Amino acid sequence: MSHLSILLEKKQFRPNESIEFSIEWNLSNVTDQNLEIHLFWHTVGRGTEDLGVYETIAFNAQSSSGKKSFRIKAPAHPYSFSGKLVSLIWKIEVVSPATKLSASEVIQITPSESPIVL
Amino acid sequence: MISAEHNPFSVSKIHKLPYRFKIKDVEAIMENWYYHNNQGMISGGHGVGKSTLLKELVFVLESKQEKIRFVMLNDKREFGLKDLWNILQLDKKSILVIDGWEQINFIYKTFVYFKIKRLKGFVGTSHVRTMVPVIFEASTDINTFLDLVAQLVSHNNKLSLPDLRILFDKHNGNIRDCFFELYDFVSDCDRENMDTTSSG
Repeated sequence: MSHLSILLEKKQFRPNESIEFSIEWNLSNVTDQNLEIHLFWHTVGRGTEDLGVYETIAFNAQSSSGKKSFRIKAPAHPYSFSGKLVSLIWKIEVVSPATKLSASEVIQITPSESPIVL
Repeated sequence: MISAEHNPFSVSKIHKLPYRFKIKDVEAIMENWYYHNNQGMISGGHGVGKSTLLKELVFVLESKQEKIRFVMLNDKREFGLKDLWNILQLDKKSILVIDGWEQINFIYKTFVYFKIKRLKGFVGTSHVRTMVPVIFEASTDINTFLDLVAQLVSHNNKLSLPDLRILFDKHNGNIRDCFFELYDFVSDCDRENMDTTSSG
Protein backbone atom coordinates (compact mmCIF):
# COMPACT_ATOMS: atom_id res chain seq x y z
CA MET A 1 0.00 0.00 0.00
CA SER A 2 1.37 3.42 -0.96
CA HIS A 3 2.37 5.79 1.77
CA LEU A 4 4.45 8.88 2.45
CA SER A 5 6.03 9.99 5.71
CA ILE A 6 8.20 12.79 7.05
CA LEU A 7 10.89 12.06 9.62
CA LEU A 8 12.19 14.84 11.87
CA GLU A 9 14.64 14.52 14.75
CA LYS A 10 13.29 17.66 16.31
CA LYS A 11 10.27 19.86 15.67
CA GLN A 12 11.27 23.17 17.26
CA PHE A 13 13.43 25.57 15.27
CA ARG A 14 14.62 29.11 15.57
CA PRO A 15 14.22 31.56 12.64
CA ASN A 16 16.90 31.03 9.97
CA GLU A 17 17.91 27.71 11.54
CA SER A 18 18.47 24.74 9.26
CA ILE A 19 15.52 22.33 9.23
CA GLU A 20 16.75 18.82 8.50
CA PHE A 21 14.29 16.09 7.68
CA SER A 22 13.82 12.96 5.62
CA ILE A 23 11.05 11.85 3.32
CA GLU A 24 10.17 8.18 3.15
CA TRP A 25 7.98 6.89 0.37
CA ASN A 26 6.40 3.75 -0.94
CA LEU A 27 4.58 4.32 -4.22
CA SER A 28 3.25 0.93 -5.23
CA ASN A 29 1.96 0.69 -8.80
CA VAL A 30 2.54 4.39 -9.41
CA THR A 31 4.22 5.38 -12.66
CA ASP A 32 4.41 9.12 -11.88
CA GLN A 33 6.95 9.28 -9.05
CA ASN A 34 7.14 13.07 -8.80
CA LEU A 35 6.84 14.40 -5.28
CA GLU A 36 6.59 17.92 -3.88
CA ILE A 37 7.66 19.18 -0.48
CA HIS A 38 6.09 22.34 0.90
CA LEU A 39 7.12 24.38 3.89
CA PHE A 40 4.10 26.52 4.66
CA TRP A 41 2.13 28.18 7.39
CA HIS A 42 -1.59 28.43 7.90
CA THR A 43 -3.88 30.03 10.41
CA VAL A 44 -6.50 28.26 12.46
CA GLY A 45 -9.25 29.84 14.45
CA ARG A 46 -12.44 31.81 14.39
CA GLY A 47 -11.99 33.48 11.03
CA THR A 48 -11.21 32.39 7.52
CA GLU A 49 -8.00 30.42 7.12
CA ASP A 50 -4.98 32.11 5.68
CA LEU A 51 -2.04 30.30 4.15
CA GLY A 52 1.45 31.09 2.90
CA VAL A 53 3.85 28.74 1.14
CA TYR A 54 7.43 29.64 2.02
CA GLU A 55 9.27 27.07 -0.06
CA THR A 56 8.48 24.23 -2.45
CA ILE A 57 10.90 21.48 -3.45
CA ALA A 58 9.96 19.27 -6.37
CA PHE A 59 11.83 16.01 -6.93
CA ASN A 60 11.39 12.70 -8.67
CA ALA A 61 11.60 9.70 -6.38
CA GLN A 62 13.06 7.59 -9.22
CA SER A 63 12.06 4.42 -7.39
CA SER A 64 8.89 2.96 -5.97
CA SER A 65 10.24 3.14 -2.44
CA GLY A 66 13.04 4.94 -0.71
CA LYS A 67 14.19 7.64 1.65
CA LYS A 68 15.87 10.98 1.02
CA SER A 69 17.15 13.71 3.30
CA PHE A 70 16.54 17.41 2.85
CA ARG A 71 17.52 20.65 4.45
CA ILE A 72 15.54 23.90 4.37
CA LYS A 73 16.40 27.16 6.06
CA ALA A 74 13.65 28.20 8.44
CA PRO A 75 12.15 31.58 7.55
CA ALA A 76 12.74 34.66 9.66
CA HIS A 77 8.99 35.12 10.09
CA PRO A 78 6.17 34.71 10.81
CA TYR A 79 6.65 32.96 14.13
CA SER A 80 4.45 30.07 15.21
CA PHE A 81 1.98 31.22 17.83
CA SER A 82 -1.04 29.97 19.70
CA GLY A 83 -3.90 32.26 20.56
CA LYS A 84 -7.53 32.21 21.55
CA LEU A 85 -8.87 33.68 18.31
CA VAL A 86 -6.16 32.53 15.93
CA SER A 87 -3.08 30.34 15.88
CA LEU A 88 -0.37 30.24 13.24
CA ILE A 89 0.97 26.80 12.46
CA TRP A 90 4.01 25.89 10.37
CA LYS A 91 4.04 22.56 8.57
CA ILE A 92 6.25 20.48 6.33
CA GLU A 93 4.18 18.57 3.82
CA VAL A 94 5.04 16.04 1.14
CA VAL A 95 2.57 15.42 -1.67
CA SER A 96 2.33 13.01 -4.56
CA PRO A 97 0.41 15.03 -7.17
CA ALA A 98 -0.35 11.91 -9.17
CA THR A 99 -1.97 9.96 -6.32
CA LYS A 100 -3.05 12.89 -4.08
CA LEU A 101 -1.28 11.06 -1.25
CA SER A 102 0.24 13.37 1.34
CA ALA A 103 1.83 13.53 4.76
CA SER A 104 2.61 16.47 6.98
CA GLU A 105 4.30 17.31 10.25
CA VAL A 106 3.77 20.37 12.40
CA ILE A 107 6.92 22.23 13.36
CA GLN A 108 7.45 25.23 15.57
CA ILE A 109 9.43 28.27 14.43
CA THR A 110 10.01 30.65 17.32
CA PRO A 111 13.00 32.66 18.57
CA SER A 112 13.07 30.70 21.82
CA GLU A 113 12.29 27.10 22.70
CA SER A 114 9.06 28.09 24.39
CA PRO A 115 5.97 28.35 22.19
CA ILE A 116 4.44 31.80 21.81
CA VAL A 117 1.08 31.92 23.56
CA LEU A 118 -1.02 35.03 23.06
CA MET B 1 -8.13 29.22 27.72
CA ILE B 2 -8.59 26.90 24.77
CA SER B 3 -6.25 27.79 21.94
CA ALA B 4 -7.53 28.20 18.39
CA GLU B 5 -6.02 24.94 17.11
CA HIS B 6 -7.78 22.96 19.83
CA ASN B 7 -11.14 24.66 19.53
CA PRO B 8 -13.53 22.16 17.87
CA PHE B 9 -15.44 25.07 16.31
CA SER B 10 -12.51 26.58 14.43
CA VAL B 11 -13.36 27.39 10.83
CA SER B 12 -10.98 24.77 9.45
CA LYS B 13 -12.81 21.99 11.30
CA ILE B 14 -16.22 23.31 10.26
CA HIS B 15 -15.14 23.48 6.61
CA LYS B 16 -14.36 19.77 6.71
CA LEU B 17 -18.01 18.99 7.40
CA PRO B 18 -19.80 17.92 4.25
CA TYR B 19 -23.12 19.45 3.33
CA ARG B 20 -25.96 17.45 4.78
CA PHE B 21 -28.57 16.93 2.17
CA LYS B 22 -32.21 16.55 2.97
CA ILE B 23 -32.85 15.30 -0.54
CA LYS B 24 -31.46 12.13 -2.00
CA ASP B 25 -28.16 13.25 -3.49
CA VAL B 26 -26.39 15.97 -5.38
CA GLU B 27 -27.35 14.39 -8.71
CA ALA B 28 -30.95 15.41 -8.08
CA ILE B 29 -29.83 19.05 -7.85
CA MET B 30 -27.74 18.61 -10.97
CA GLU B 31 -30.74 17.22 -12.84
CA ASN B 32 -32.68 20.31 -11.83
CA TRP B 33 -29.81 22.42 -13.13
CA TYR B 34 -29.75 20.59 -16.46
CA TYR B 35 -33.54 20.97 -16.70
CA HIS B 36 -33.15 24.74 -16.44
CA ASN B 37 -30.60 24.82 -19.29
CA ASN B 38 -27.62 24.71 -16.94
CA GLN B 39 -28.75 27.80 -15.03
CA GLY B 40 -29.51 27.75 -11.36
CA MET B 41 -29.36 29.49 -8.04
CA ILE B 42 -29.05 27.98 -4.58
CA SER B 43 -31.26 30.09 -2.43
CA GLY B 44 -31.55 30.36 1.35
CA GLY B 45 -30.96 32.44 4.42
CA HIS B 46 -27.69 33.29 6.13
CA GLY B 47 -25.54 30.48 7.49
CA VAL B 48 -27.60 27.57 6.13
CA GLY B 49 -24.85 25.97 4.06
CA LYS B 50 -25.32 27.50 0.60
CA SER B 51 -21.59 28.03 0.07
CA THR B 52 -20.79 24.55 1.33
CA LEU B 53 -23.29 23.03 -1.06
CA LEU B 54 -22.03 25.18 -3.92
CA LYS B 55 -18.48 23.89 -3.41
CA GLU B 56 -19.75 20.32 -3.60
CA LEU B 57 -21.55 21.09 -6.87
CA VAL B 58 -18.36 22.65 -8.23
CA PHE B 59 -16.52 19.48 -7.25
CA VAL B 60 -19.04 17.45 -9.29
CA LEU B 61 -18.66 19.77 -12.28
CA GLU B 62 -14.86 19.67 -12.08
CA SER B 63 -14.97 15.87 -11.96
CA LYS B 64 -16.84 16.05 -15.27
CA GLN B 65 -13.90 18.10 -16.66
CA GLU B 66 -15.99 21.24 -16.94
CA LYS B 67 -14.29 24.63 -17.31
CA ILE B 68 -15.19 26.56 -14.17
CA ARG B 69 -14.77 30.24 -13.31
CA PHE B 70 -15.44 30.68 -9.58
CA VAL B 71 -16.16 34.08 -8.05
CA MET B 72 -16.56 34.21 -4.29
CA LEU B 73 -18.03 37.37 -2.81
CA ASN B 74 -18.68 38.43 0.77
CA ASP B 75 -18.65 41.57 2.86
CA LYS B 76 -14.85 41.67 2.57
CA ARG B 77 -14.65 40.88 -1.12
CA GLU B 78 -16.72 43.11 -3.41
CA PHE B 79 -17.57 42.52 -7.04
CA GLY B 80 -15.68 45.10 -9.09
CA LEU B 81 -15.02 46.19 -12.64
CA LYS B 82 -12.17 43.73 -13.00
CA ASP B 83 -14.49 40.86 -12.02
CA LEU B 84 -17.03 42.04 -14.58
CA TRP B 85 -14.37 42.30 -17.26
CA ASN B 86 -13.10 38.79 -16.53
CA ILE B 87 -16.63 37.40 -16.72
CA LEU B 88 -17.35 39.15 -20.00
CA GLN B 89 -14.21 37.53 -21.47
CA LEU B 90 -15.39 33.99 -20.66
CA ASP B 91 -15.95 31.74 -23.64
CA LYS B 92 -19.14 29.79 -24.28
CA LYS B 93 -17.59 26.59 -22.91
CA SER B 94 -17.26 28.09 -19.45
CA ILE B 95 -19.45 27.61 -16.43
CA LEU B 96 -19.63 30.64 -14.17
CA VAL B 97 -20.04 30.10 -10.42
CA ILE B 98 -20.80 33.06 -8.17
CA ASP B 99 -21.06 32.66 -4.42
CA GLY B 100 -22.81 35.72 -3.06
CA TRP B 101 -24.90 36.96 -5.98
CA GLU B 102 -26.56 39.65 -3.84
CA GLN B 103 -23.14 41.36 -3.39
CA ILE B 104 -23.23 42.46 -7.04
CA ASN B 105 -24.73 45.88 -7.73
CA PHE B 106 -27.69 46.29 -10.06
CA ILE B 107 -25.72 47.65 -13.01
CA TYR B 108 -23.09 44.93 -12.96
CA LYS B 109 -25.81 42.31 -12.46
CA THR B 110 -27.44 43.41 -15.72
CA PHE B 111 -24.24 42.76 -17.62
CA VAL B 112 -23.67 39.43 -15.88
CA TYR B 113 -27.25 38.31 -16.64
CA PHE B 114 -26.62 39.12 -20.28
CA LYS B 115 -23.39 37.12 -20.29
CA ILE B 116 -24.53 34.00 -18.44
CA LYS B 117 -27.11 33.32 -21.15
CA ARG B 118 -24.18 32.90 -23.51
CA LEU B 119 -22.13 30.57 -21.32
CA LYS B 120 -22.30 26.83 -20.98
CA GLY B 121 -23.78 27.28 -17.54
CA PHE B 122 -24.18 29.28 -14.37
CA VAL B 123 -24.73 28.39 -10.74
CA GLY B 124 -24.72 30.74 -7.81
CA THR B 125 -25.91 31.39 -4.29
CA SER B 126 -28.28 34.12 -3.22
CA HIS B 127 -30.24 35.18 -0.17
CA VAL B 128 -33.03 36.55 -2.35
CA ARG B 129 -34.98 35.41 -5.39
CA THR B 130 -33.47 36.41 -8.70
CA MET B 131 -34.26 35.96 -12.39
CA VAL B 132 -32.16 32.79 -12.35
CA PRO B 133 -34.26 29.72 -11.48
CA VAL B 134 -33.82 28.29 -8.01
CA ILE B 135 -32.47 24.75 -8.20
CA PHE B 136 -32.30 24.22 -4.47
CA GLU B 137 -33.67 25.98 -1.42
CA ALA B 138 -31.15 25.51 1.37
CA SER B 139 -32.39 25.46 4.92
CA THR B 140 -31.45 24.09 8.30
CA ASP B 141 -33.19 22.44 11.18
CA ILE B 142 -32.29 21.76 14.77
CA ASN B 143 -31.51 18.10 14.16
CA THR B 144 -28.98 18.97 11.45
CA PHE B 145 -27.36 21.47 13.79
CA LEU B 146 -27.22 18.99 16.67
CA ASP B 147 -25.68 16.38 14.41
CA LEU B 148 -23.05 18.80 13.10
CA VAL B 149 -22.10 19.80 16.63
CA ALA B 150 -21.89 16.13 17.62
CA GLN B 151 -19.47 15.51 14.76
CA LEU B 152 -17.31 18.46 15.77
CA VAL B 153 -17.09 17.53 19.45
CA SER B 154 -16.94 13.76 19.02
CA HIS B 155 -13.39 13.70 20.39
CA ASN B 156 -14.19 15.99 23.32
CA ASN B 157 -16.40 14.05 25.67
CA LYS B 158 -15.77 16.39 28.58
CA LEU B 159 -16.79 19.52 26.73
CA SER B 160 -19.78 21.31 28.18
CA LEU B 161 -21.80 23.41 25.81
CA PRO B 162 -24.69 25.84 26.17
CA ASP B 163 -28.22 24.71 25.37
CA LEU B 164 -27.99 24.12 21.63
CA ARG B 165 -31.71 24.40 21.00
CA ILE B 166 -31.85 27.82 22.60
CA LEU B 167 -28.76 28.82 20.65
CA PHE B 168 -30.31 27.67 17.36
CA ASP B 169 -33.48 29.63 18.02
CA LYS B 170 -31.54 32.68 19.14
CA HIS B 171 -29.77 32.82 15.77
CA ASN B 172 -32.90 31.93 13.74
CA GLY B 173 -31.29 28.84 12.28
CA ASN B 174 -28.12 30.63 11.16
CA ILE B 175 -25.69 27.82 11.84
CA ARG B 176 -22.67 29.94 11.00
CA ASP B 177 -23.52 32.39 13.79
CA CYS B 178 -24.24 29.48 16.11
CA PHE B 179 -20.75 28.13 15.44
CA PHE B 180 -19.20 31.55 16.07
CA GLU B 181 -20.90 31.72 19.46
CA LEU B 182 -19.86 28.16 20.28
CA TYR B 183 -16.29 29.01 19.33
CA ASP B 184 -16.31 31.95 21.73
CA PHE B 185 -17.93 29.87 24.47
CA VAL B 186 -15.39 27.05 24.18
CA SER B 187 -12.39 29.36 23.89
CA ASP B 188 -13.11 30.62 27.39
CA CYS B 189 -13.45 27.12 28.82
CA ASP B 190 -11.05 25.87 31.42
CA ARG B 191 -8.66 23.68 29.45
CA GLU B 192 -8.64 21.04 32.18
CA ASN B 193 -12.32 20.44 31.51
CA MET B 194 -11.72 19.58 27.91
CA ASP B 195 -10.20 16.54 26.33
CA THR B 196 -7.64 18.06 23.96
CA THR B 197 -6.97 14.90 21.99
CA SER B 198 -9.30 16.07 19.23
CA SER B 199 -8.25 15.54 15.67
CA GLY B 200 -7.67 18.58 13.62
